[in-house]
Amino acid sequence: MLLGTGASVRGPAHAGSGECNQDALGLWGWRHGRLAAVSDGLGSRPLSHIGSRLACRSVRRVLRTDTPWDDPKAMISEIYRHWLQALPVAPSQAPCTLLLAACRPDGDTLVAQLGDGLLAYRAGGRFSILTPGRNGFSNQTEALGISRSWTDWQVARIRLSAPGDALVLMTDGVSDDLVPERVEAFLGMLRSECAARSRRRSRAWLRKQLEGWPTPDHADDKTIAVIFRR
Amino acid sequence: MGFAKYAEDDLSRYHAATVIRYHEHERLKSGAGAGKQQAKGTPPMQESPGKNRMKDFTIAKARPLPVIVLADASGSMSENGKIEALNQALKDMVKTFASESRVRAEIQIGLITFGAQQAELFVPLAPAHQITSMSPITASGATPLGQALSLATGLLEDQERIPSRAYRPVLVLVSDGLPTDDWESALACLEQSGRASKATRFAMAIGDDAEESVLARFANDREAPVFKAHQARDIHRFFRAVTMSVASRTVSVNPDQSSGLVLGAAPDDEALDLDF
Repeated sequence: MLLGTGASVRGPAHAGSGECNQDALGLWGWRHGRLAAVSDGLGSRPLSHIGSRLACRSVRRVLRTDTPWDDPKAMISEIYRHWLQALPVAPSQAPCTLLLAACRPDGDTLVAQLGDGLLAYRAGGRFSILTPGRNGFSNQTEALGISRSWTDWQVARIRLSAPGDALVLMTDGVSDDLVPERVEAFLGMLRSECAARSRRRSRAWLRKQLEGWPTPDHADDKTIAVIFRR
Repeated sequence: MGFAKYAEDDLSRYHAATVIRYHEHERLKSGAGAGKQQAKGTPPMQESPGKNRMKDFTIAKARPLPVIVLADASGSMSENGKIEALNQALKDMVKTFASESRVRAEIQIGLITFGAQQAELFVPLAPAHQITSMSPITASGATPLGQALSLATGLLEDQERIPSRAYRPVLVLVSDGLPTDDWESALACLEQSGRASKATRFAMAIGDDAEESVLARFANDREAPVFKAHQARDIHRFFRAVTMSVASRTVSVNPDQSSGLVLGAAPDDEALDLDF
């Protein structure tokens, strides 16, 4: 049985300036499986919070229909098109990253990522990270509204088949402060903590953890989504 | 089975489930099951109240914001108190960054000097609050700007010294003369490199002899064109503007976005009557 939980909190920088959370989180039951989307609005653009919310909504809208599962490029193009159509402003004013995971009840899962953040998973008992290494500095990223290239997307088809298999999607507010060598242990910890609680309690626990983020002088909004097999 | 019996059964089942769930929850909360779990080699699920589990997986240091100063230490800088003014301005900048408590980043400072036939990393990149003293720069010899640019490129490209979680670095070039080595290929190398090219670059030309076209090619911030210093106090004004710009970045919502340079007026008591 696949379960999912997630939380999104406003970072101290936005809290201090009275601005809203520019991250967005979507987590839904989907065809008896799970669907998760995490998006980070680019802080340098004024309306990126609209972009990130619509990105998550576009993932749900497109995947609710019978989009071809075996053609990730067509599916992602459709999500991108839906986002562009739904945007009430110019795409350059609301760019955002997007990480998504669509899990069927048998564990067959499609994961995709554009831009910053981290997508890690344990599938069939083996741990992997979808996100490529960053060659630059923080907050310099590809995003919906900026990138037009399919090669900017990272896509993988995995199977969450073994007990204890899980995946995590997070924005760079979380991933940039993680010790790179501890990501696997981090996923394991999230899985076991969330599995030990009800969905409502695990969501509250996750939110509390993000609100008490231990890295000194952290500023970014933080969003995380976890899907795991019980 | 009558309806009353059915409802009773349903209710009792619900009641039993609630009791069991409550009991299990209390057992976990009190840590009664912890010994059993640890015996199996797994960590206990419940921690003491207030414990943040993220602490074991996160970096315990703030994100760095590197500021690298490329300072001209050629012979011409020894005239008219220019090098003294530069030394004082650098000292003030370090002091301001070290005492800045509002910042949401760890401001790091590195100093590359170029003069006397070679460029050197005069102060290795370190958090401003850890730089307790800085020996003064002495001016002599030629102006090997190309070497300094290569050194800066190497530093910016080094992911060990400047991790990818760092905010966009700031490069500050201060020069009063014409470069004496192949600076163009070194600048091209910096501009074409993957990471170094992303740094914000400010430049200041000291005196009328400075080759402004070189500095203009170096600067990449549209809101901060090359600043021309005609007097020693202008050096202070420039470094104060850089300090303000970096400090405002660290407290802003978008620390990677440059706020340009806002040059304030120099107070009269700082005016040194120097003719350059």
